[in-house]
Formats: sequence, structure tokens, C-alpha cells
Amino acid sequence: MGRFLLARTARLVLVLWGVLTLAFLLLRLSGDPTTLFVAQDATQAQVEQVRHQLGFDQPLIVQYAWFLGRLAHGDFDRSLRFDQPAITLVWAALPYTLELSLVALAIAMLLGIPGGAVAALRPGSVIDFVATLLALVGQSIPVFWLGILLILLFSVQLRWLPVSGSDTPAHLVLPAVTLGAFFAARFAQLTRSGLVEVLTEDYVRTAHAKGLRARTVLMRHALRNVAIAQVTVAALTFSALLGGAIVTETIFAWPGMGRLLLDAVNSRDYPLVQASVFVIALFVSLANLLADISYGVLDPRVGRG
Amino acid sequence: MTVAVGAMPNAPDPDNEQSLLANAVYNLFYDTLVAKDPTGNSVPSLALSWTNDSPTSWTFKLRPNVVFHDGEPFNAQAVKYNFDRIRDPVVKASNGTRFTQVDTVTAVDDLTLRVDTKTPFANLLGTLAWLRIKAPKQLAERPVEFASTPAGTGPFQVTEWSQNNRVVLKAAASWHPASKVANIVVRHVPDDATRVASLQAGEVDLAYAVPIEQIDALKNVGLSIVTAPLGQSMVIEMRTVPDSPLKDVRVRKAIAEAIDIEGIIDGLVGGVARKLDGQPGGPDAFGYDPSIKPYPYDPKDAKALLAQAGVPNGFSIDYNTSVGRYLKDKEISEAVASQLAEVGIRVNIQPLESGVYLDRLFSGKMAPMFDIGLTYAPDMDLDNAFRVETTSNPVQQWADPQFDELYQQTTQAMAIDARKTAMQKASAYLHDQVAAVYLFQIPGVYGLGKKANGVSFRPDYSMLLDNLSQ
Repeated sequence: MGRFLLARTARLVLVLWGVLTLAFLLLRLSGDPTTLFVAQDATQAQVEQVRHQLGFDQPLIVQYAWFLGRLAHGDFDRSLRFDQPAITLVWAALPYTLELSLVALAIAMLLGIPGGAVAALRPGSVIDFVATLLALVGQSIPVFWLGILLILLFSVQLRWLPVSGSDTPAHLVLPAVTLGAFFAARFAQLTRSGLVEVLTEDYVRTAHAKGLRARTVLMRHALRNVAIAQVTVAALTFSALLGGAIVTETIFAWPGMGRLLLDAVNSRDYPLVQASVFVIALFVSLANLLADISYGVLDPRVGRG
Repeated sequence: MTVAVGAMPNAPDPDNEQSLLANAVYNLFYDTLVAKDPTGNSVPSLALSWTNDSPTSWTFKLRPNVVFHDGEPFNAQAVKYNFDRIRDPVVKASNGTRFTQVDTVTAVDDLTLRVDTKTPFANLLGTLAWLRIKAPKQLAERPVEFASTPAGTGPFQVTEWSQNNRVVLKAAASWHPASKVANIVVRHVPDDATRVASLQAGEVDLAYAVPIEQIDALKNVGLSIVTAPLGQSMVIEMRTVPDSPLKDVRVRKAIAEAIDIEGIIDGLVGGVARKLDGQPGGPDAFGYDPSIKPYPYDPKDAKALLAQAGVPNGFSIDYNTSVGRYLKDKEISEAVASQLAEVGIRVNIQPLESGVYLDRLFSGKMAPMFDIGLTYAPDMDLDNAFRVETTSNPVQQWADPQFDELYQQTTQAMAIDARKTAMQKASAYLHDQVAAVYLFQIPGVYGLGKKANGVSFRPDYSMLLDNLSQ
């Protein structure tokens, strides 16, 4: 286990370095952000002055060297717009995104897995049809459309829930449901198709033949075997949620990392984009690492030679 | 009162902020030395009076008995600190470039300030709109406090500054008349639809930037909509610098007469924008010339002009449009293209993303025709608009020594009347030479709930709360 972890950690560092370098290159290749920081009627001399102050007139390799040098000290440089260390801004927004992502993931799994299981138990029935239809619709609806729709219904018409912001737990409901709905559909579909396959396996028939109740068969045997696929999807979903909560966070004015990243990209705030991408990559890698470790736990066959 | 805005100022420090919308928040708790009246003339704010002792020297008499929100006294030393700070090369404030002509600032006594400039700086008064007066001791000695409760001299005091999330203010004891509003919360709601929904659900009392399409829907549910022109002109520039058919003034005049500005205002902007009078600013700008009349919509005359200019069958021309940067920018480019097609000019629209747009703008690489929102607020002075047309400007829109000379005169005419005359001459010249097609002043569209009834808006997005009905 120790060597496994060491190898994975080394890989993690490599991946993070690669991601950061890629972000660095792509950002600078898309043009320099000086013009966003000068007055509309600045003279050429003033634009040059600001460009020099921000260091964007240096050759790419020099900028990269500075970048790596600062990284070695854990310094992601200061945000160009907010004049605070970029990493501080990201850490401040991170809890909001984590909260939203985890709750959305929970909703997705709590709705999707049982939904898919129920459909799988009665393939071809009305329940199955409805569940499959909902799954299809859920994955086709654009997130922003669903979000606005939920706002119009639950906030404007019914006044049951707040429109946007993050002040109370009630504020978490609509954004989490919006995000969760899409992935619930995914989980439902995956669970259903996985279970349908598993339920025809020999060991399931044996379990039934042994006289075990249908529910025990389902919970103790069948679901365990689709668990690996579930975990993979959960890890991928979590990664997608971290980065893809951008739209939801914007609609619901949720002060998370996604919105911060979007603003930073629009205003070419390089340090902030780099810091955000780094943190997202970090959590995605961690989620994948956790998933890998869990395989060993869930499936005793993994890790054995 | 709760207010929803689409974008917040980047920081409590206004010296680095370029966005006009930031004034919605800054004006609640910061003041400047002078303010502007609705016709662009400077009126007292923190400075009660001012004189020009020589073309390069100004003396300001300051308002007595003013205290910053953190208890510091407002005086000439505080203003000097602000002047020095915005120009400090260590601070690198982006708005410092506006004050490069200022040489030294001296506190003659507690309430008298002298500003010496390197060359005659006729637009000092307009530029002072960018020098929001911050509490010196707080900024210098307690930066952490400044970052969360910045102290100014305005009618409200910041009690919480939550980056990109919300700013909470309470009515402050200040030199301003007492406010009818006890508390203001400004919330960041970036999505248009969400902002409108917040207003409908009663979660906010005032929503900025209501989409034009939603105006009627909101009126139908009993909410009121207020529109007020911003100090920002929607303009289609016509470059004469790179070689193109636009070099001929008759061609430019033809384009101006082929565009139906009123049709665009009614069709695309809900009829709520004020048409520009053939010049880059409205009556709220210093330098506005009421005698200039815009070119009429006259496609027949446009065709005749094109024939005179030797291009009776029109020509092809590239047009760079921003997308989502200014109100209906892309839609306007499409309307303009179809209107110009009627007189034979085939417009090739090339949309540009914001970052690329700015890149090309500042490196002089725009297409021969391009849209721009010329912002003359908060200065409320046409100096900025004129500067874009000078030969030395990085946009490289125009290179006309005669205009450069006219512009030069506006920067050196110190007496108010002389300067106004000089600016009107420059406006008239731009009009005669058809440097651009001046469409309309971009409107601010605000949705008001019951509690906000009576709020009006200045051309820099800031709120006037004196006439609240409750």
C-alpha cells in the first residue's frame, strides 16, 4: 500500500505540474491582458508602462522561469484585479464549491441509484419506462435552463425558496438540485444498465435459489458488483461538478470557485486562473486517488497480483 | 434597501478600477473634490471653490468640518495624500495615468490646497472624478481594516465588504444631508435572469441592468422601470488611417445618412435611449454643442454621395463588433449591415470576444469600421472622446493634424467659457468630417420595487436617493 501511495503521489505532482504549465502557456498564447488594466484613453506610452510593470513584455521563457520560481515557494502571485494573493482568493471560494459539489453529488446518488435500481428490478415496466425517460430528459436539459426554471417556479411564483446568494442553508437547495438533477440521471442510467446485467448472472440465480429475499440479493450481492462502476462515475462526477459548477454558480450568485474562475478568464487575470486551475486539478486528482484506493476495498480481486 | 448589480467593484480601492458600474457602489461612501451638474459643469463637493492662479496652478478651498467614517479629519493634507498615492509608482494605480500632468500638490493650510501641473491641464476638474478621497491614516496604517470597512466621506459607511459577493452599508453622519435610507446592501447577482427574478420575488428592491426584453414583463407585474442615459456613447468609428474607401469624407457622410438611428433605438433598444446629436456626448457632457444637428436618415442622398465619391456601386468593408460588451452591440452591427446594404455597401461583420477586442483596439488593429462605447463618465467631459480621435492615440482611428490642433487648444484653454468654446469647435469639426456615426447614449435600465420608488440615477450609474417616496 505504501509503495502504491508513493507512486500515485509522484504521479499527482507530475500531473499538477503539467496542468499548470499548460494553463500558463494557453493563457499567454491567447494575448496579453495589459489592455484590460489601462484606462480607455491611455496613450501608447502609458500602455507600455503598465505592460512593463506587470511583466508581460518579457519573453515567454523568462515569464515561465519566474512562474516556476514563485511556485517553488507556494506563491501563485497576486490577482491582477483584486490585488490579493490569488491562492487566498481561491481558498476562500473553495469551501462554497466543495459544499455545493458534495451536496449535489449526494442528491445525484440518492435520487439516481435507487431510481435506477427500481427500474432494473422491473425491466420493461411502466416504472422502467418513466425512469428511463426522466434519465434521458435529465441529461438533455441544459443546466442554466433548469436553474432559471426552478427559480421562476420555487422563488418567484411560490416564494418557497430564495433566488440567489449563499446566506442560509435554504440557499443551497436550488443550486444543488439543479446540479444534482443532471448527474442523478447519469447515475440512474448507469445503475439500471449495470444491475440489469448483473441480475442475470449465475450467482444471483444461486442466491435466489438459496432462498434469500429479493432485497437481500439486491443489497448484498447485486449492488456491490456495480459499486465499482458507481465509484468511478462518482469520482468523475465530482470532478465535473468542481469545474462545471461554473454555470450554476453564476445563475445562483453562489460565491464559489467556478464563478471566480469564469470572471478571471474573462478578465485575463492570469494568476487567478492559474491558482484556480491548480486547485481544481488537485481535487480532481485526489478524487481519482480516493476512487483507486476504494477499488482495492470494494473488490478483493484488485491488488492481488 | 437591497440592490442587485451585475458586477461589483474589484476592491475597496477605487484607484485601480476602470469600470463605470463600480460607481454604483463607490459613490455611496466616497466623495470627490468636485461633482458635476446635469449639464456637465463642475459644482462643489468636497471642494467649495477653486481658482486658476496661472495656467499651471490651481487653488482649491475645501469644505470645513468634514470627518472620514473612521473619525479622521478631512483636510488639505488628506487630499494631498490621495493625490500622491494615486500617482505613486510603487502603488501602480491604473488611474494614476490620468494624473501624470500633475506636478506637485501642496497643503497651503488645513482647508486650502494648491495643485501645480507640468503643462496646462484644462480638464483637471473632470479628471478629479477619478480621485475618490480615501481616509489617509486608515489606508496607510490599517490596510486590513481598509480592505473590509473602507472609510470615505460619503452619505453611507461600509460595514462589510465581501469580495464579489456583497457590500453592506449604513447611513453615516456626514456632511451630506441625512439619508432616508438607513441601510443598503449591494449584492452581486451576475446573471440577468436571476437579477430580474430577485426583483420579482421581492428579494431585492432595485435591480441594475434589466434586459430590454424584460421591461414590459416587469411593468405588467407592477414593478417600475427607470431609464437614464449613461455617460457612455454608442459609436461606430470609421477609420481613415489604413487605406480604404472611408478616407473620403463623402463616403463617411453617406454611411452616416444610410443608418437609421431612430429605427435602431426603437427596434433594438426598446426606444429608451437618447439619440446623440452628431457628437460623442449628450447634453450632460461638458463640451456639448446644442447647435449641432445629427445627419438625417436619407438613403437617397447617401447613394448620391457615394456616386459623387466615385463608388456608385458601393464597396465591401470589414466591421469589427464586440459581443456582449456594450448593450446590443452585435445586434446593432447586424442592423447597420442591413441598412448599409440598401445603399450598396456590403458590410463584413467580424465579431470579437472582449479580450481580443481590447487587444486590437489598443494596438490599432481594428477593422475600418468598429463599434465602441465611448465612456465620458464620471468625468462628464468630452475630453476622453476627443482623445480617441487624435493622431497619437493607440487606437489609431484618425490622423488629422487639424483636429490635433483643435484638441490641443481644448487642453490649454483654462477659462471655463473659453474651453467650452474650444471643445464645441472640436465637436463641430468631428461632425463636419464625420469621424464616426454617433448613435445614442447607452441607457441604464433599472427595475424598482416599492421600497426604491423615487430613486433616480446619474450618468455614472450612481444612485440619487434624495427623492425616495417612503
